[in-house]
Amino acid sequence: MRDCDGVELAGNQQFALIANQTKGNTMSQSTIPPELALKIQDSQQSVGREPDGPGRRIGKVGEFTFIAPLKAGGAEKFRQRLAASQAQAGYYEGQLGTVHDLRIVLFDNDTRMLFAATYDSDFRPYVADVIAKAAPWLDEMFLDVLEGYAGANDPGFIEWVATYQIEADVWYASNPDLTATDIAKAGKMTKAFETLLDVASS
Amino acid sequence: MTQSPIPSLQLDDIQGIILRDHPVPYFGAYLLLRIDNPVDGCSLLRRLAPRVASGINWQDHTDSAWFNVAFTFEGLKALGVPEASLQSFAPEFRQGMAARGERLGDVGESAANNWEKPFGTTEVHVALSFFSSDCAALQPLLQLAQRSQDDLLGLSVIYRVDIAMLPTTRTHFGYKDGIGLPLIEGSGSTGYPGQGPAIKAGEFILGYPDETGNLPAMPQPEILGRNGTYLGFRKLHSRVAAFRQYLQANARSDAEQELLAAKLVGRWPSGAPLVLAPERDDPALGADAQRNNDFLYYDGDPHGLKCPLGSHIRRSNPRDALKDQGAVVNLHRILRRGATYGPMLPDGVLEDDGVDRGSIFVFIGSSLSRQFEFVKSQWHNDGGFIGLDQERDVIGGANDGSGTFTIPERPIRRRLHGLPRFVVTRGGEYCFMPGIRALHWLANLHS
Repeated sequence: MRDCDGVELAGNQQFALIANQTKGNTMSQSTIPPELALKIQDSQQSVGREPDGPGRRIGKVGEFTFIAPLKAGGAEKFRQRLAASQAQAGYYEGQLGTVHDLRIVLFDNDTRMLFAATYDSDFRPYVADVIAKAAPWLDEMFLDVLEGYAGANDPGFIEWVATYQIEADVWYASNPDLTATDIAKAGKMTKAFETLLDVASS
Repeated sequence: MTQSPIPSLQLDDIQGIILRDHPVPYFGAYLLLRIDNPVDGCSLLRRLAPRVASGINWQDHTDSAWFNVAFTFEGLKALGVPEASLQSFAPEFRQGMAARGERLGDVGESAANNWEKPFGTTEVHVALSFFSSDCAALQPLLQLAQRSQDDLLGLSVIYRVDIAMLPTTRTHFGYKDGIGLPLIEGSGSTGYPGQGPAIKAGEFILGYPDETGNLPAMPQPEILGRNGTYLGFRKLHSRVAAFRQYLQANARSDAEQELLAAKLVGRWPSGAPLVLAPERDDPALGADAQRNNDFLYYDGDPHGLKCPLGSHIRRSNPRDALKDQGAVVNLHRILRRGATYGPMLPDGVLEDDGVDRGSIFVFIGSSLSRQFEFVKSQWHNDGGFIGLDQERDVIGGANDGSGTFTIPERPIRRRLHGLPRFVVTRGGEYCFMPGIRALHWLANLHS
């Protein structure tokens, strides 16, 4: 489908460094045995980037990383609503069905928020869908919490997101060729197959 | 997303093709023009603007021939539209269709560097569409454009493709087309069963609220943007012989071939949908506009046992199939105008005769990226949304001979292999179709 665009990343450069070290390069300060270097090479993932806007991609999976400043008193408001935000996460994120994982972290003495997710397919094309499906959840979490957040339905929302979106420097995806739906299906299939074997062997 | 009164459309300012489908039978042509001198470009517009078809009486208009006008980004530049205004147009329109090949599946033999000239070059500036129910009535309108290049030296007609309904009334692949168009809110149409609910007008015409509840981003100044819309124009070559060969190679009888062809598309050649006629064609159903679109997927065919999840019509418009999970379908509806060009490949012929035939496809909508490009990239050229991520649409996907097509069956699904490309993009352009007042505004840019 969609190939990575072959952008060479820090990870690959690091590997080149390790490979040099194992060749007895003078830069060597640690000793990586050749067998380990080979294993590292075999496990290397090809990292590309999203076709529109920032974000890394491995296979079919993309990463979304966002760091935005909090309003004064924003952390308090965020924490007041925290239990509800957590309780509703499964429903709203499940609606789209393309998000593998998501985390939200306040840091720097409650002055900034990290929002990081792993998702299937492209980010940009689905922004309108995310808004249409998850606006109530996002508004509940972010209104009066994040600087400049005027609501997910605000016409300036996408531009606002772009202001604070950044790209991951290092990233790993466990199943880059499987969508969240594929993984759920594989789990069901395995269970059904085990049941079949149980029946056949009893 | 508050409920507000439905705005009435300014039909006298909206170009006709946005609302009107082609007549039956139809004749017509698409012309592409180059503007070398902005003053001559404006002179042409002064001739065309008073005669261009509007949306007035679009459901029962009486003119036997009509035309409409649109511009590429290069065309707006060539006319001398001010820079600040140029920058207010959607980014994908400014880039042009050729630059969006990866998203559209225009790769390999469909890639822009293999397109017919002048498509994808900076020379295409103005696109004119002509439709008529009567071949003779078409000629005076065509001459209006053709002759303008004789006295306006800074203007050239650089491309022309004629379109006409085939004797079968169907597409080259043999299917009835043009069913399942969205119903536009405020357009005055009550629609037909299965067409609704109505889609907000702003999805298709700028200046009205869209399905997000907001006004779609509109080019500036307002007089230029209002009642305009974006178009994606494509010349799509149909490999009819390859399609027939594929059906023959994958079916054991004529009846099986017909069923297989229906499974790929989601409708029988008559237009009868598989959801309502799962086993055999039902021409009476196909011909009946009150019934041939009146179906959904979620309750009646959730697993695609009747209409495969990967069939062309189900990918292009999943209707209610994604309501539990996935995209919001009404944010990605396609208003399209399709017409055939080239002669038919006679029935039963399985060898390619080398003749160019296919369809001129025109997408119409207020967001090229959220509508047309979304459908091409996420629904035609990706199968992740239906759990078939190795598959692409049989008609609209960038197949290369390695793809599969899954036909859900019980107990075991059937899977076809080695899907070739049946449709090759020969060229295309993103255009902006201004409202009629905007055409007059453009015509007077230099006076």
